[in-house]
Amino acid sequence: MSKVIILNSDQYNEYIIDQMVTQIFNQICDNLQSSIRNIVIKPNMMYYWDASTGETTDPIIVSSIIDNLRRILGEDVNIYVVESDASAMETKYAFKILGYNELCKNKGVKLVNLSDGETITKKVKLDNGLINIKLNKLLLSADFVINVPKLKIHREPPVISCALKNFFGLISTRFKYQYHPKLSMYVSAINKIIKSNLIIVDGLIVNGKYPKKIGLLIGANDPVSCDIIASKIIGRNPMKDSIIINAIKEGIGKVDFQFLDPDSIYDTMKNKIPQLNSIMTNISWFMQLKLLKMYVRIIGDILPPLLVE
Amino acid sequence: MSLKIGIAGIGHMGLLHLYSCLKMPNLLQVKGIAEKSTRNRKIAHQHHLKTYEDYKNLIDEEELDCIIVSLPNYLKKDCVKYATDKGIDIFIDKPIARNYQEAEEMVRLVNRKGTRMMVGTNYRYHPSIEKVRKLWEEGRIGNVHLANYELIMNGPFSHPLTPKPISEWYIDPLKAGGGALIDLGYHLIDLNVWFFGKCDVLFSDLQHVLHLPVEDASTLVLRSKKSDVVSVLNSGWFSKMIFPEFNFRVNLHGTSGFLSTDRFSPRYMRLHAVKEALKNFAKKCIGKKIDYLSYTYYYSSFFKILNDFFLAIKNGVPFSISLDEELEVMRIIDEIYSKHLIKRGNYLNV
Repeated sequence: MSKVIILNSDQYNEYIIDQMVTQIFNQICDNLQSSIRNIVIKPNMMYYWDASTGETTDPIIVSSIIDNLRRILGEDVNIYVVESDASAMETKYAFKILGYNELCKNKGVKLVNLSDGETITKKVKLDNGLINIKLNKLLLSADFVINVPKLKIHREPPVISCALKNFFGLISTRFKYQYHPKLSMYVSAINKIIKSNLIIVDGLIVNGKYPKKIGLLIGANDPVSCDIIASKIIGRNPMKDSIIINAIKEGIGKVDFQFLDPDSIYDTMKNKIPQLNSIMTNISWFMQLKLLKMYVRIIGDILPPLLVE
Repeated sequence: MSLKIGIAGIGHMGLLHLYSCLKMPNLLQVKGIAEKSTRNRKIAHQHHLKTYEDYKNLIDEEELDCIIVSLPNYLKKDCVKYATDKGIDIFIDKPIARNYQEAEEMVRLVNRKGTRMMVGTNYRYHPSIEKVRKLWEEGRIGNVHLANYELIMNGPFSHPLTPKPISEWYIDPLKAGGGALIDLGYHLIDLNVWFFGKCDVLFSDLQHVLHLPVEDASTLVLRSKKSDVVSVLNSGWFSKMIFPEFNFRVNLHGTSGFLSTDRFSPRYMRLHAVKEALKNFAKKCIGKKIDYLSYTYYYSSFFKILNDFFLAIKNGVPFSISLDEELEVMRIIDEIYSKHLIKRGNYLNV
């Protein structure tokens, strides 16, 4: 049975975040083996929008994870904070803009662009086909992988973007946009190759209809259980989420899990998030564009290049 | 007779200019496009336009009356020089240049060759600015002593719903000439110069919130030499904004009241779009000319300024935006960059 813990502090600061992360370490991975030498931490970096926008993992959480790892495993453990280039995001800018350059420099850990360096192509057999995935060799030599996703909704397709989806960013290929039509398959494939040993979800600021500070952290040792809880918190039915359904089908994680939070704050968290009905948002955006294009065609007005794209 | 025009560069702004030009068939004829990107040239081909990879070929091979220069900042000077040598009038996107020296050289060239150039400082044409300006000129708020300007957007970062990589030149100080100040701050300084004339810089602060090679936010305090009006100007690139949201305002504080563009800007952009669309529909029904891009609010000024430029050329009347004003804007920007020792090194002299 997997473990899930939900922690919340409305008035959080760096010290409280550190205490929350330490509690997750103590309760989720209480017996870390001292033989662990190479650790990969995968935060979620989103374009050039920093943690205050609710789109990117807060470097403060990663900082506390590094401190905890060193406390438990010793100062000489090798820690790598990783992210790959994306269709629109280049890590050469994102690392600086999102505060990860500074964090890794201060902590003396390596910050790695997974799109650079030696890669290997892995074939992954899924229920509905074979997927080829390009991976940086560093990932395959990791003894322990910490998944630090951001709690949010991916707009297109509208699926929960949490533990499972965060690993999409481990794929070395830069133009991953081409994989979006088969997003859930690629997400399952990467999660089959690379296992999340520990998951710490950043819900400090959650971007629903608008960003809101809710001071939430979720700890888990299984990405499926984690995403089921995250999905419920964000107000979505996990059993209607293609990423979660596909992951369950592929046997990536467990559906039965044990709550470790003493106060059952799960229900109260649900009401704190400014709910965004992503399907409605997409439909309305799509409808607006359709109507606009119709207007432009009939009246002969101009459509700005931004909307043409 | 319609004007024969060419467009150098159809990136984002150039493409908007092209779409605008195509709606002015009685005024002009687009003879060709110069564009390096194959993808963008394809867009021009969709409109059955002749394309060139190099603006020199466009200028040499087409008998142009005017050219729209919508190139990255580091390519503007050479293009202006080439066009003025051929006696072609120019519409150039802001900023006029990367620095004062470059701008001055361009203006000198234009004057020497007897051609004409107008800078596309389209914020003067925003409906809310036009209303504020009109009321201020009528004396509605008495003597103005203080003014505030704000323009905070996403700068080189694309629309959140369609994220795209940053254009590298945009954040390269050598190629762009600076960051948020020369990009967005330019508009605000231009408005201030237009309202209150030449200014002294009392205070300036440049920020690097996003750790880019160029500044992404600027705060300036200027004092008008003519009227002693003190203005605070804030501009920035750091905000994740979703169109049609538009974070721009000007407040003028006078002895008998105040004027704010917020009063004249649409509160609900989508409702505004519907209203404008219905108005245009009615105009179309009774055979009147529609207001292009008015439904977007933000983009309407781009159409208006371009239309104004071509009308001025055609009718042989002075431009509404003088090059002296643009030189003053560049002088102020140069003074601020120099003060902050942005390590611009010798690129003040590129």
